[in-house]
Amino acid sequence: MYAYVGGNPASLNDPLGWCAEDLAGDEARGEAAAGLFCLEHPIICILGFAGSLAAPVAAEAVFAAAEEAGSVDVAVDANKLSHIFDNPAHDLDTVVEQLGSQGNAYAAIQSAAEAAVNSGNLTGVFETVVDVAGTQVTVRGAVVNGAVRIGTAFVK
Amino acid sequence: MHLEPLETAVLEKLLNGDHPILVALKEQMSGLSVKARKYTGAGFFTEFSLALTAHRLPASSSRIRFGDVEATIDGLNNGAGFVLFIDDGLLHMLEGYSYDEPWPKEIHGFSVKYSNADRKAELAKLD
Repeated sequence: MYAYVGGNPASLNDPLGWCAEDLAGDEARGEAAAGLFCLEHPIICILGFAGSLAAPVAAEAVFAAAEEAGSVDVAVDANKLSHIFDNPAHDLDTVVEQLGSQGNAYAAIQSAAEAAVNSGNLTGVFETVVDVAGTQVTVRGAVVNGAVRIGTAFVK
Repeated sequence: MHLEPLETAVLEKLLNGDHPILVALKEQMSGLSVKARKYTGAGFFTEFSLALTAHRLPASSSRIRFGDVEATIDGLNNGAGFVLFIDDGLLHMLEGYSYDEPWPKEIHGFSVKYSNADRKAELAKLD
């Protein structure tokens, strides 16, 4: 009944019917901290969310992720993109360059991880190594209620 | 900067054991301090600074990524995972991450455990 706000009508709002936003206007430590629930309008969702942020840095980060995520038709969390792709220790620059954007790279990792989970009948917390644009990427995640949730990804 | 309680608990759990690499990394920890810590909203990265006298691991073990510890944390329904980065034979960084949930602003309660009680598969990464 409340799927349009991720099943959480008490703390999420969706006035335009495009995506849910956190009524608490959550922000922390200078980075956006709220999850996004938008399956069909990621750019609209992210831009709308960015408009509610007080910290300019956070807004810029979210806008940048929105631009990069333009071709991805999945929920996109700017913090998740930054977490996975902006730390040089993850060594994922080549993958991003190959696929054109962090959003595309994330989508490819998500897709490859889902295939690995399905083929290996993986459950719970998992680690798998998948080929993404010719690079062997270690993906750590968890299967939650049948859905693959990516925790992190890096090149060993 | 000092290690946060969660970081300390995860590192102690990760480095527990008598594998020679674990023993060597525990020795490195004796002079460890926090060089930098970044919260990303989806987790954290904590970089380490070690004592100048810290002994590097053998060249064959100079680059390792491992982590078979997970945490139950207040505010995270799906818990959290961790990866320890060893570069150039030295402890470099601890990463913590959630599974598509915002990382809590403050951590008031947590517990840590091994992902798999049998650590053989994870410890094989150290060989």
